[in-house]
Amino acid sequence: MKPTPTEYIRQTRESYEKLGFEPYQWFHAEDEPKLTPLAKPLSESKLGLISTAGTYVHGQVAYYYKDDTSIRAIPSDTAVKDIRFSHIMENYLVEARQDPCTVFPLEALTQLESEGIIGELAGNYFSCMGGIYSKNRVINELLPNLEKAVSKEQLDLLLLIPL
Amino acid sequence: MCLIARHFESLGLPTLILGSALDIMGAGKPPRARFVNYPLGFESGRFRDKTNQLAVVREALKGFVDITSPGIVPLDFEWQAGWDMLNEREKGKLDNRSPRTTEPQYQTEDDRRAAGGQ
Repeated sequence: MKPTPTEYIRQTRESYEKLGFEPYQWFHAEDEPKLTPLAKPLSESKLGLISTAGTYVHGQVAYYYKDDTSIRAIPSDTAVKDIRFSHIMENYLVEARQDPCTVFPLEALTQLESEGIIGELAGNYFSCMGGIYSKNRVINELLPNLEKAVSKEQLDLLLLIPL
Repeated sequence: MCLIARHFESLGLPTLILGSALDIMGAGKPPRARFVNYPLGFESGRFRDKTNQLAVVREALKGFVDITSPGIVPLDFEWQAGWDMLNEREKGKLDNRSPRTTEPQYQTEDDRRAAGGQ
């Protein structure tokens, strides 16, 4: 029997209460999302990546844990050994800090590009922090930061990997 | 992440989320998402298992084509390494996480020096 999916909202609510943190408000969408059709096949598309695992590269300034709405550009040819993480949920990153590809699939994407499954990879991937308390700051600071950076990559498709 | 996905879709860029928190993703009504029932921290595959990492990402990307109406489609991978170990790992460490401040939290002290000591 397959395991039941973990109830992360309930678990985190309980742990935050024990820690004395303010209750976290997850985003609850009320309306259905827009779905943009693909303009061309994946094998002819340029693919980008955004990670919310607080990914940074050795030499860059790390993220901080209190509502950091900044982003980092991670060149897609970065060596795996130079990938780091700073994220409020760092307890989930014990293994990723030893093998970053468990949450940031640099090697798999490069392999799939070399096989021709993906047409082309972005020159830069991007990261940010999850766990930002203010939805307004996500909308007014983080999203414009990401939009500006991603638009320069001229992507056809965008893969998103949350922590 | 659903807010980010919905934002880029509204700008005309197709997105796909690969995530492991089904309840959090479901609340945000993502345009396209693949759910892999692995613990958080392994969204793109198992620890030091390059074969599994490639398989997860390869299957996930098919969602760009296969998902033609908004929703979350599960991937057919099972976590067989034991959830008990992971649940145990998470206990206690939640209480020891680094402080929620505006000080950068470097993974290593060498990282801090390499970034100019900020």
